[in-house]
Amino acid sequence: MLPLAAQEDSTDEEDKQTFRPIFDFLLREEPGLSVSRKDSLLNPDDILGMPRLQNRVLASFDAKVPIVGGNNVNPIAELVVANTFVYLQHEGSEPTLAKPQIADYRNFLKEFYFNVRPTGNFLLTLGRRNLTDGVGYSRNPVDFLANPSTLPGANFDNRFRLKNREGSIVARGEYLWQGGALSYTYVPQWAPSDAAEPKLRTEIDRLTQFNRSEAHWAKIYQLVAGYDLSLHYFYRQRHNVGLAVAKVFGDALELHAEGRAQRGSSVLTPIQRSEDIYIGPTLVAPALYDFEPRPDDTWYARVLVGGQYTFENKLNLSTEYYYNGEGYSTAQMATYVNGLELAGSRYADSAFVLPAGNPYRLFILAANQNFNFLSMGQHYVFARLADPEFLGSNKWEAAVYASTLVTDGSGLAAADLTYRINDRFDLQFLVNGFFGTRRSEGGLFYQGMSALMALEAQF
Amino acid sequence: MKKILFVVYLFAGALFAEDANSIVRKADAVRGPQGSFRMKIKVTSERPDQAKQEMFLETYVKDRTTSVVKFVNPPRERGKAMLMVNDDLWMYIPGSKRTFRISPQQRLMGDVSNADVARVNFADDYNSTILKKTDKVDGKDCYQLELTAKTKVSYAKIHYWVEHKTYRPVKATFFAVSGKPLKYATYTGYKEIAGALRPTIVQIVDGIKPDWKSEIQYTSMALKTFPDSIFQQSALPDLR
Repeated sequence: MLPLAAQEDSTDEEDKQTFRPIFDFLLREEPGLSVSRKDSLLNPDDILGMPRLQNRVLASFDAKVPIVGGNNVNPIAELVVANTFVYLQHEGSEPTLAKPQIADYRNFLKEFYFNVRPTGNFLLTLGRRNLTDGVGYSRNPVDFLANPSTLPGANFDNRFRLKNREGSIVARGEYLWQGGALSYTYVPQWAPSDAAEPKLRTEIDRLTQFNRSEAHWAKIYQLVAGYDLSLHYFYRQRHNVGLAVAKVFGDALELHAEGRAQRGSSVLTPIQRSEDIYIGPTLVAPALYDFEPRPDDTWYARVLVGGQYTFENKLNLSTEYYYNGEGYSTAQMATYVNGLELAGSRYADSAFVLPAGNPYRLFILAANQNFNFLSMGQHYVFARLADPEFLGSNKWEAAVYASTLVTDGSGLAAADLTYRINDRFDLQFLVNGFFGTRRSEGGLFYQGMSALMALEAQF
Repeated sequence: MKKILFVVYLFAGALFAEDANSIVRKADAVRGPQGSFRMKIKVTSERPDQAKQEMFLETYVKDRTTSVVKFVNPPRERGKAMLMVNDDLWMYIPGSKRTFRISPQQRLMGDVSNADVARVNFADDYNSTILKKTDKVDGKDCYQLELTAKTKVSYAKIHYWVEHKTYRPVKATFFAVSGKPLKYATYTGYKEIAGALRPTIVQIVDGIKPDWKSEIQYTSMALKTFPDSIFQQSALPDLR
């Protein structure tokens, strides 16, 4: 018996190809409709001027280009690029706060990095990379470099959201062994550009927008008795520790859990600074609401537990519970909404003499900045039912999913239907409904409903 | 006397079990090389009144327990990668930029399971016994074996027919935990690949709907070594 290395079968010519770049192209035409929520406290009477109709065209290409030797499985060095060009067009001719330009186009260089493999077990990554992590479907507490998606067009399903976010510039080393890996990721700090040319300065600033502060991320992963187990330490101005576990039980059930503890929080807490003070019938000092920072020595936890079950007919059910320790308690949420209600009513009341500095306007602006849909509260549940062969047909794929803030019963419900025209073309129909009372998180959201139809081609 | 008979029965049972496992191991050696190798696979699925589906894959097999499957075509599947280590499965989906743990129930296409394209051996996943020492299939003398899952693999039980002397797999019936037949497979298209005469086509018929058909075609198979680091869930995004 020869050693394996000497047994290479030389009859397959394709295996001899050393350099084989891979290119993928995607075109997506996506007209969409949004219905603003008229009673939204964050957008009363649609003062932001949310677009009702819009059209989005995306052109993406992904490339993986071997640079130095090896074979197509394991090149020693390669360049990976993910780029999306977006053309966005709104209805109407008047710009608003929510759509400063009627038509806009922008290029998003989401990833541009080099993978270098100096030895079979060591991988070095340098460049802009969209690193993702976690075992949960709807949320990922250990996804420490979760940059907000900057591409226009909201989509709440991870199937689209994670792919369409821009990466951070990183230097990452990973050492792999059988069933385990140890990685360290360094995010260097890049100050805003001082380039003289405004266009160049804008581009550089956009490429470095997720590198405004230094970060360190260490992770160890090990498969232990069928359990995926990973431990994390992350530092970006705050200390974080994380843990993720996943395992399959039987032939159809997968369970997972992940969590992080973070020292301090950048989330601001709404407070009522003062109440209305009257002297007789005269209001001499109006009530004021504000936001205040949190103490740096408090630890905040985010925990997700969930699972998915696949039925014999291929139906897949995922459910998850998410505890967001940084979210507002019921009392804090009430303060946030009370502040918005008061500010909105006083700001809109032409007879009311606004205090100096217009604190009500400032509160509305700050409330908008601090509004992070589906992350405002503390207790969320998520459910998703997916059928890869909807109506028994291999042409149709369907999914319905919902995420709800348990304490106020509000949230998002969505239905997603995809028709596979052929191997390259898909037609997608997606409807998002945002539900909840006026004082709930879902009711605060700017939209009541949104829908899109997308034609996608892949080459 | 009863005790002696019982010991003889146990001994005979053990002998049979050993024979059955050895037959399955030899049949595994016919289906694919036993070391590290690469296979290119075409999977097709056909159902009445529905479009025919095709998928092209490349599987890198490290050993009997560890393999990686790269999805090559159609374009919507390209970039996906699946890792199988023992009976654990992970899938990387480029659209979501994530590697998920998946269960054996999550099938690949038609009646083809993920394990069907990730490996070509049964011996490590199933305990085998001989049901019939000789059963005629298409004029060939075959062992009829019963394979029972050791752990959480795709099929609870398999009835497997292996030709005498050559140990060539001829056909198999795959069962669910409930005992319901899930699918019937026939091993055909014997050709000289990777240094031996091996079946290059597995024709599959659904256990309930006989007009639902799938096929796994091994278009090439070559002995090849790979770095250990590609057989790792965190390496799947970089495989492409």
